[in-house]
Amino acid sequence: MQVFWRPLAPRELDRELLWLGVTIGGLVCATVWFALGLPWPVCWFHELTGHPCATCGATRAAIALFHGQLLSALLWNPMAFLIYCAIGIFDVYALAVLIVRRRRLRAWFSLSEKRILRVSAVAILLLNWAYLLAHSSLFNG
Amino acid sequence: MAMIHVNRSGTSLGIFSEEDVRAGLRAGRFAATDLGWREGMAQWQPLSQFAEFAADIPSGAPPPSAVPAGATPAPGAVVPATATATVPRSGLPWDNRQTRGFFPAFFETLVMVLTKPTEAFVAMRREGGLGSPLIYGLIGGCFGYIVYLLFMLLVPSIAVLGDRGNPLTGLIGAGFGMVFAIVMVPVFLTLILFIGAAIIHVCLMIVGGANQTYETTFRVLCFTVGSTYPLIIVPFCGGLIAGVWSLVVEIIGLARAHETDTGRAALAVFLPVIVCCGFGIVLAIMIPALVHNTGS
Repeated sequence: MQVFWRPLAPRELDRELLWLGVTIGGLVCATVWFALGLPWPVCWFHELTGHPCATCGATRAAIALFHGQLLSALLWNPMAFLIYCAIGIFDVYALAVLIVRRRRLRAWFSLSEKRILRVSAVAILLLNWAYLLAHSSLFNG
Repeated sequence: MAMIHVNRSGTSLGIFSEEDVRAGLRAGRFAATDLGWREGMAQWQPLSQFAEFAADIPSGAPPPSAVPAGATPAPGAVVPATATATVPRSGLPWDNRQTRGFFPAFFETLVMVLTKPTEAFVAMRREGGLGSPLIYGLIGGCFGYIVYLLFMLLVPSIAVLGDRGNPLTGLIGAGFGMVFAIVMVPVFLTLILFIGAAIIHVCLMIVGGANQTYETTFRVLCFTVGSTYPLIIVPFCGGLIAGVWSLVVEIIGLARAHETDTGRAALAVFLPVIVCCGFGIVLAIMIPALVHNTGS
């Protein structure tokens, strides 16, 4: 894996701006959704089986995180908690490089490294699901 | 040895050693107009301006990927930056479905837009009529929605926004309403595509990013919807994935097709949301106040 800072090429997609926009847009939409009292998303897997799916608790983890309850957010869905933290760090970085017009951080992975990353992502997803299944009682209250 | 980053039409081709770039230029894999950057350089430069490659660039030769006059570029191929001014865009596989076959062309386009949106929208033709992209958008969009609605028909109480106390959900889940909904999906989707493209195009004009016609915006929206809406059927969080990815693909598509910057494209896509959210916030503040005043 090679990590480097380089300038954005002419006409190159500004990924920092794109994903910062998407995350902020998503956050605003979610805030308005809940502020208007619209219904919470229902997990059909949980409705059908009574067991949580791999992403159950992600909404509650986000809400706990925004209330500053880090431990609670972690317990609701560890993977979602880590993703939210990563998004937060990325947004801070993206905002910083966009404001100061600095070089962009890029990583280059070889094919074998990409394969390892894919396998790791699936493993993390499965481990997270195993954790949620072991704590099913949290979602049946 | 310093590694050289090579970029064509805003798409990274990778990181190569000096020797690789030299060999690539000789073999025609890289064009003299491709941009290069290595550690220590302030900005990107065309490879032709790298002193060490001067001997490897054939003088007066056309760009390696340029299409001969009168020939049609391979569908899905990325036309180099210099060629875009004179050579028409190669088009998505869907544009060439007569020779490729209907379903292979559909799936190739879908995979290309989902996995390589930048390349897809650099290759997408900006003109050529509304009918062809509309058919693509309707096939992909209707497939995603109808499979989702059929699922709701089978299990009416577990809609994504399931609410057993909601009579509307009950009505939709009753069967007859569902059949009506399924029949109406193509109609509503067509309206959404035309009206949505108009709204986004107006937003693009507002932010100064509309460098092409409404047709280009419409084509971007159709290929985005047709490619991302089938993701709705992914178990667990298909709706979320489809929602987020369609936003991303749409922004990339508008930036590439209108040749505007990502910021303007993102702003154009989010402008309706910003306006609606602003309206929603005002409603959220006003309604409780009105209810309170009416009650007292």
